Amino acid sequence: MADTLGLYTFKIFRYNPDKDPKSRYDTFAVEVRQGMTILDCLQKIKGSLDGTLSFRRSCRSAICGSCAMNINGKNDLACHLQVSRLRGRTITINPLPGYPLIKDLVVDMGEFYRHIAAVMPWLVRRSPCPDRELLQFPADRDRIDSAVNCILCGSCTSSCPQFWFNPRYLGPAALLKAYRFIFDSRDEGRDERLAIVDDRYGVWRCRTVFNCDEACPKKLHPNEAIAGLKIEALKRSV
Amino acid sequence: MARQTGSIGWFLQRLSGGLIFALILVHFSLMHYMGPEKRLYADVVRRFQNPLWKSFDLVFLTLCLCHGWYGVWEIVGDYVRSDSLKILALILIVIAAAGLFSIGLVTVLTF
Ligand code: FES
Repeated sequence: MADTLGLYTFKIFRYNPDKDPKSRYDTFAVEVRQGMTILDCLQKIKGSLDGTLSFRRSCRSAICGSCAMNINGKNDLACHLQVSRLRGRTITINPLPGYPLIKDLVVDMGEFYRHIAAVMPWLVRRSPCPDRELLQFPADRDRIDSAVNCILCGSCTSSCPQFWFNPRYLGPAALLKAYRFIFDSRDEGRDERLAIVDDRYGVWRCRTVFNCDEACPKKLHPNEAIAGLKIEALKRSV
Repeated sequence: MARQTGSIGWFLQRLSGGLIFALILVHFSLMHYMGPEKRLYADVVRRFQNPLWKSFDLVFLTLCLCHGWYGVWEIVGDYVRSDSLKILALILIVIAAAGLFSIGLVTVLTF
């Protein structure tokens, strides 16, 4: 068929602590057609080659963030990345680094969500709420525009060497979330949130490695947000 | 007492980094671009007679040592988990920094 890309080898990380405490790689040969994503190939493997393969997915539209994994050494969304965009005929897939493993490509993101919850990811209002929706000037909205688009896939935090060694570190995703509310003109919890991020395990643990910016499948800039938070936290301390 | 968050250390690292960059430009142009006659022993001796040059070198020395060793301390904070190892590292850092500062101080003051 004209639209076939040919045979690809998928080298996939396997781990099932109930059966074997050691991890291994399994390889699968998959016939790939034009337009197929990594997730399509994983579904094909699970559907017809090995039903025990575990991975997360939900929306298949790069919106829910469930399918983040490490593909050929880079964190990305399996449902977004097309096979044709990768070089070579062998594709290596690993779970997101830095999180505890559960099974195959499924990792435990509990710590990640605890960090997100720690920065109070909701709008705080002290003054009485108006009867109508809270309006914002377009310029105010522009300031948080990209941060709002975070889908919590965990790719950025998983790529951060600080997080690998210090899981207590809030990590780029939680800090981006904090930025999203601290710089939201409608929010009134700024001081509380700044007190949370102005911590040894908050913004000051970031060493500006830029892995987070590179890993974000949505092309957001957590690093820039962290830099903004550092300035705000500094103003608070002096 | 204010909570130690790391913000002041971060700020001082940026400040000292900026100052070191400015001073290093002077140092580099003097040592590498002013011609070999400015690097002769007699020239160095003459320069060190001037208290302004002595102060320049002392400030340069202090900033470089503080910036460098604080950086090492931050790396220790990133990668060393055990409190006793951290204390040991801190002691070694203070000894190394104080030792190097003393050598520099003696050189600058007695040259
Ligand atoms: S399945 Fe939802 S982002 Fe990929």
